[in-house]
Amino acid sequence: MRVNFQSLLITLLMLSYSGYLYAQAHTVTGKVTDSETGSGIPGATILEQGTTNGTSSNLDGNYSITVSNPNAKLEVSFVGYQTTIVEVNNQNVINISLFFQTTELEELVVIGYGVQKKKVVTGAIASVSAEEISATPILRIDQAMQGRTPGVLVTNLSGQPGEAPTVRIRGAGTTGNSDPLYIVDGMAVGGIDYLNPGDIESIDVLKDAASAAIYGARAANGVVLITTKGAKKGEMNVTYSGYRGIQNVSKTIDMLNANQYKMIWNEARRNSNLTETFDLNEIPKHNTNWQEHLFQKNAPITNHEISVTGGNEKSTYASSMSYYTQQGIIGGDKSQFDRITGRLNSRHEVNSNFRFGSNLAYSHIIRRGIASNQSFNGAYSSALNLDPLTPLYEEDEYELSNDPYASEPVVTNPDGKVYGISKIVGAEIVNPLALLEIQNAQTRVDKVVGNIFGELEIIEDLKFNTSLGIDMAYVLNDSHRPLFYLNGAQLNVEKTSVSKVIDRYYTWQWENTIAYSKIIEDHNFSVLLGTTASKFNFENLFGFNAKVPVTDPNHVYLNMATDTVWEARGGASHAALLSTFGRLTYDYKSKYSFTGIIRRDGSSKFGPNNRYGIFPSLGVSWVISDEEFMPNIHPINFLKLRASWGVNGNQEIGDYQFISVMDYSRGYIFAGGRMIGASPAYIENADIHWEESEQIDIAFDIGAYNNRLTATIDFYNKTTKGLLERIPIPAHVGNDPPYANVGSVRNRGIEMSFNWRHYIEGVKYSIGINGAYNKNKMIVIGNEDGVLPGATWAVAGMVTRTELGLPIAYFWGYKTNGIFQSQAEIYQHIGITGEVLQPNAKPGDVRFVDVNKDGVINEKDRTMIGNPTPEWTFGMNGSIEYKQFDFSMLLIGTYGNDIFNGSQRQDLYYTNRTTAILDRWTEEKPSKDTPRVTWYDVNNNHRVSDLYIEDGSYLRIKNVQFGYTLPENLQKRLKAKTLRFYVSAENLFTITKYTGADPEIGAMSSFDIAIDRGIYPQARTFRLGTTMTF
Amino acid sequence: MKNYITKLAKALLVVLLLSSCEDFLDLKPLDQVVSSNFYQTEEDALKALVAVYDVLTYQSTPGVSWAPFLTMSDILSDDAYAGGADANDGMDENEFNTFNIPTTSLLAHSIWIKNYIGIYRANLYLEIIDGIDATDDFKSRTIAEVKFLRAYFYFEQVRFFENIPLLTATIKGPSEYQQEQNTPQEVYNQIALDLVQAISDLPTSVPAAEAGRITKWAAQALLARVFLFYNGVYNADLNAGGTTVNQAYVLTQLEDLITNSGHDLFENYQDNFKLVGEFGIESVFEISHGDTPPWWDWGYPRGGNGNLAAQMQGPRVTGSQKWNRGWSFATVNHKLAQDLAGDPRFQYTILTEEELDGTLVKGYQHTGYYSKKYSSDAEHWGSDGQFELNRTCNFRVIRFSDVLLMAAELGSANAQTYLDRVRIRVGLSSIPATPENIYRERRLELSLEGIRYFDVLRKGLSFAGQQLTHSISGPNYVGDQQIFQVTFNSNTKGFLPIPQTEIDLSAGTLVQNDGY
Repeated sequence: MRVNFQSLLITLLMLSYSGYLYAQAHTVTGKVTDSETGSGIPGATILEQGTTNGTSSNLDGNYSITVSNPNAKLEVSFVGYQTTIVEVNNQNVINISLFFQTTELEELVVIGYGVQKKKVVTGAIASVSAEEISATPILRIDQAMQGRTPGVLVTNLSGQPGEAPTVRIRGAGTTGNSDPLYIVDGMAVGGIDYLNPGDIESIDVLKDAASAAIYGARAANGVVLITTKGAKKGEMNVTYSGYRGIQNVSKTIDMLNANQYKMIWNEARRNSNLTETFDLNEIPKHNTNWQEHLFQKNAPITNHEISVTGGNEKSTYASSMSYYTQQGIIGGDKSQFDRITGRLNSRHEVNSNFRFGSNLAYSHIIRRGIASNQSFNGAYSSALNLDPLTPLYEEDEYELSNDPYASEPVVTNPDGKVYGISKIVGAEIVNPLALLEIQNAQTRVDKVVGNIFGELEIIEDLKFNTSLGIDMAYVLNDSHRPLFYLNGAQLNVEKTSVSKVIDRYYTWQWENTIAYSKIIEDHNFSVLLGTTASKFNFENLFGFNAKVPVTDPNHVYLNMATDTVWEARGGASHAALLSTFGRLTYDYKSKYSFTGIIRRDGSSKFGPNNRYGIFPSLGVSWVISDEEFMPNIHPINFLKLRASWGVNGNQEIGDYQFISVMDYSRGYIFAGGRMIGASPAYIENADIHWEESEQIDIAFDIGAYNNRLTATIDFYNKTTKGLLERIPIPAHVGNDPPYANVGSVRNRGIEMSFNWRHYIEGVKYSIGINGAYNKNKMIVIGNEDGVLPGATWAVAGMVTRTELGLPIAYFWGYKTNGIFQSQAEIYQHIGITGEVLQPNAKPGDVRFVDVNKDGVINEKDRTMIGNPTPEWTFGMNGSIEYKQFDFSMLLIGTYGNDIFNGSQRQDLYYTNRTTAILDRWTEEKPSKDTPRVTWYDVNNNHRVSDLYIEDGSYLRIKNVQFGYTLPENLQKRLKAKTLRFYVSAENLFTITKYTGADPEIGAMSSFDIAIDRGIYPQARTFRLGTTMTF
Repeated sequence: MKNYITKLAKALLVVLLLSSCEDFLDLKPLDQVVSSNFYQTEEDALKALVAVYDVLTYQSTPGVSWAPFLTMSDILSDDAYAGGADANDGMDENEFNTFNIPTTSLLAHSIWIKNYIGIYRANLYLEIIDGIDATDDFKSRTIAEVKFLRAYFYFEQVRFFENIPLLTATIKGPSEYQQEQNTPQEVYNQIALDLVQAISDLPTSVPAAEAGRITKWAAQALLARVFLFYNGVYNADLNAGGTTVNQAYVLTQLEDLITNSGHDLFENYQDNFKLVGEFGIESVFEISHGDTPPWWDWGYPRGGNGNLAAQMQGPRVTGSQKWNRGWSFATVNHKLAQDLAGDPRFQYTILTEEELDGTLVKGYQHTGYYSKKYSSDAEHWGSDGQFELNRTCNFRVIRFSDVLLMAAELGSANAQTYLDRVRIRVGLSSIPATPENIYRERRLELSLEGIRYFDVLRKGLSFAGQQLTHSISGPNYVGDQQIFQVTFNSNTKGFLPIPQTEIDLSAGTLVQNDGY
């Protein structure tokens, strides 16, 4: 929230000065202008230095002042501009141009339960403005932080519309849920996809523990404060903004064509002394490029929103409606996100000491999705692995009259064309278009988030605030399973079925705060005390039946099902949080600042042994440049040092995990029928307690070149202790493990941002660069092997691990050392005791490293082969405005991260391969990095090794926008206040060494990061949009 | 103004008071029962007992592969290959088939996990039963049942893995997580002890509606099977807490069973694998499968009660009236077909592709033969649910004919009679009850019932090497001969590897088996 104090200050200043001094009177006149535009600044203060004698400029910026002597100095100031001192030096006319102060030090930053002047903020808070939010066509507000907030890593999970991106503030602070806490207008919400980005005024990210401590037990992963656009006084403004765009795939992967495919697999057979499968002389009937069929051309994206703001002295309002729809580039309407939102924010001043208001938002979301990064059931995975010999549609009459087409419920497209079925590749690799055809899952959400709040000024400077909020949602999940036959392994030939789940979420939150602030001369105090109570409730209902006669898969209801296998289930859960907190802030002349916070949280998620947690923090800052002794180091004009320490908590585990419950899903059928059994669902651990994250932050804020250049550099060290994890325990314990506090993780890093803004000769431009370095390391793991299991890939088992001394979810596998070029090399590859390590290998096979040097290559040689989390993340934005034209650009990138490229199913026979296989090792053309192809992989070349690991660093032009604002006279003729058109391009270009479709791969879970299982890539989007205000 | 402050102070006080209100935070599960105060009544105990029985039907564990005992042990034996749709489909099974089992095998891990779940629930039952308000009869009977079940799980575990931790109480906390492996002798002695105790407390008969619950006879028969394997492999007797379980002891139990149990052979051999024979006179111990509740969840098949082995072993056939679509795992070896050639039991043991109506899709290691005993036959289609997950055929773990042959093998005075009974029932003539003939009769009578592999192993490693290494080709085999060649790896003595995950979690406490 940025509040302009301009008018207030002018009034104050007007009131505060009175009387003139007449001694050696010397009159100076002139004009105060903006250094950049040259236009006059009205209301600027012109003060004779060292006196109370002053005046202010008139509407045109002109002023006149009579000073005490001809050698006096004038101090010229205006809010938002650099204060300038000029010597009168006997002149009678002095024109003064003021420089815009770009640090926005007077701006207010949202800090949780209040705002604070940026200059006195002691913590690390990154902000995103409404202007920045509107620059890219984001569906979800969390995407606005990408590239703009150093230390906040935002990674899109995939290119599927509506999926929640992975957001990590200062690294993965836990092995559990590492998502930050989202607070929207003071209300802690569960999920933010209901928000229309156009409604958002600002995002403020509390990165350090000291800032976040005000949210105590839930703040360990950082806090994102989202403020919606508030009501504004004045005449009614109606703004329409909207855009339409088209999306296309930006990169496809080169796969083998039919002839190459046949040649490779024949060679594989030959290399294992088997007969060749394919006759190369026969011209293949089909040469299907699956990707070409899979990706939609010009998938649409559309957004319309209208907002109305206005109000009188007593009541103000801001309301909006929006409609957003986006189809994915895979699957079209099978992968679609639609959202309608409505919002009404209002404020009312009852009298001078009582105000109240409300925020109310309703959203309706329809989400249809497909598996976006899956080895099994992933459309893109199938497209990359299915052979090119299979046709998209089987049109051969002979084939159609035979099995499986003749006897099985094969899948057809809406026009009745029959999707081809591979005769060669089986298992989970199927015709991807047929796979999409049978996807019918749909989620519909109706959500209301709102709060009413009142503020009572009891006595001057003592304010009581109360706020009652709700967050409720109904989520309806539909699923219909038709009859289908994709291949011999992927089929449902018996019964169609339908299921419906309805979930109801309801959370209320009641907050009360008392705030007292006082300025005593240069001492500025404020105290805040508050309480929060909140309760979460969940209930659901599930229904299922089979045999649904269906013509339209989009309209399937339980009543239509004719079977008798009715199934109904329903459950409920609840959780509560009860907290008290206090904050003390103090600053002296805004030069020395102090913030102290303490919060005590009680949570129903923990047992009586450890129900309460206390989370303290301290922060100090010192504006060194305000010190008299500070020498003037050109060009630096502002320097602030900040330091903070704090402890936050994390409680994101399921409910009641401190007790074990009975699982009634046991049962046994005796002759008399089935009897129900029950046993504990998991082992009990009553002692679980909060995860505790302790963090130190030291930072500099710098301004230079009259604050045209601003920079912030933060150093932090964050350690989370007592990680709550269902840590693997030996299976002989006989039941599932309990949650336990079993680990510690440390994140250390540096964040930097530099911004340059300038206005020269009618050109206004800015450049911002930010970068963040983070190093993540597990420092305690509380089980015997010091290992937490990670993600699995295809059928290879575990490919990531979390281990003591190493980063969370590192890639785990064999190390390789090239390709055996000759039999001699195989014999030379020996272990410590001299035996041949890979006796079954042949030239062209992979040389694996005996990492543990025990003389054999086996499971124990698996080691760290890559790190999915970037060391460096960076963002770069630039904008330039000239007359009616504007241009902006956003670049994002990562460095030092790896990707597990598992989009190729090398474990399966007859899968298609990328053209990289054409460089394989052959006797004629030996390769140094790509092994030979074989049918019997006796050397197990395809086992999980560093051959799967690729450099995932990238630099992406996320957004380029070019806009044109109509000249004022034209706008006036159209009765518009502003009217702007723009074109933009998203994901225009990506520089990366990664060979897969998209290097941006989010975390499917804390342990499943950057594994490419055939990732649904992000679209390249071109948009045409407009914003008009009337 | 003062009034305001007073009001405000009051309001704040309320809020602060609320924050120390325990009740607001003391939330218990709404839709679940807390386990710490569950075990009170006889009815609760019965639920706990059923939870132990439940594990008998587990053929997969969450996150790990399908690994039915029957299918796994037959694939290990010389009765069956791995099979499956294609080489990819049956890859893990093929590792079993070719004795090339990685320590990371998910199938081995699945078996390991399953049996320890059963052992945990059994141990838990033995701990909670003291606090239950129930009659002494109820307690002694159910304790005996649970001891039988614990012995059953341990026997399966130790037969597969040989060196396993022996736990007779539930683990109380992290400090007890690490458990060293016990010697096979200790484990087998505990099994013997549990069974000997169970024999004395188990009922000799159960009401019809309770059929499926353990009887004394089941415990006696299992003890004999345990003894034969242990004695065969380790050449020693068992010690059941001071009672020596030797050949004579076991034989006495079997004679008691044969004479007094009322168990007998079916007139028709094939009834053993039909609905009509379920919980029948020939079944000494039977694991029950069925389609209640109808099950649909592929992600958690053990929540249902279907026989997954039967689904896996069924022929991959479509459009058939007699066979539902199976997955063609554990395709039957021509070696068994040869041994059964001319035997009346052939037609009830082996399903040949010639018998199939509909369209057959030939999978990996197609031999032209499938198991007929446990298969996707029409009779056992579940009436509800996802058909693959709801096969209803019960698994006859110990049949009376097995009991007769075990008694004969152990040197019963009635050995000839017993052998004759088994042969005459299927229309074969009497042959002398020599050890060789009795042993050979086991192969013919009990093939494809999960018995063969352990019968081979207990005859010593050189015998196992002869039997389990084979490359016979059959007339209907499809594919390169190479994929039908199997070589036994005697370094492992036929045992499975201790799952690597468990070794990793044990910080060196668990030691890998020889040969891995």
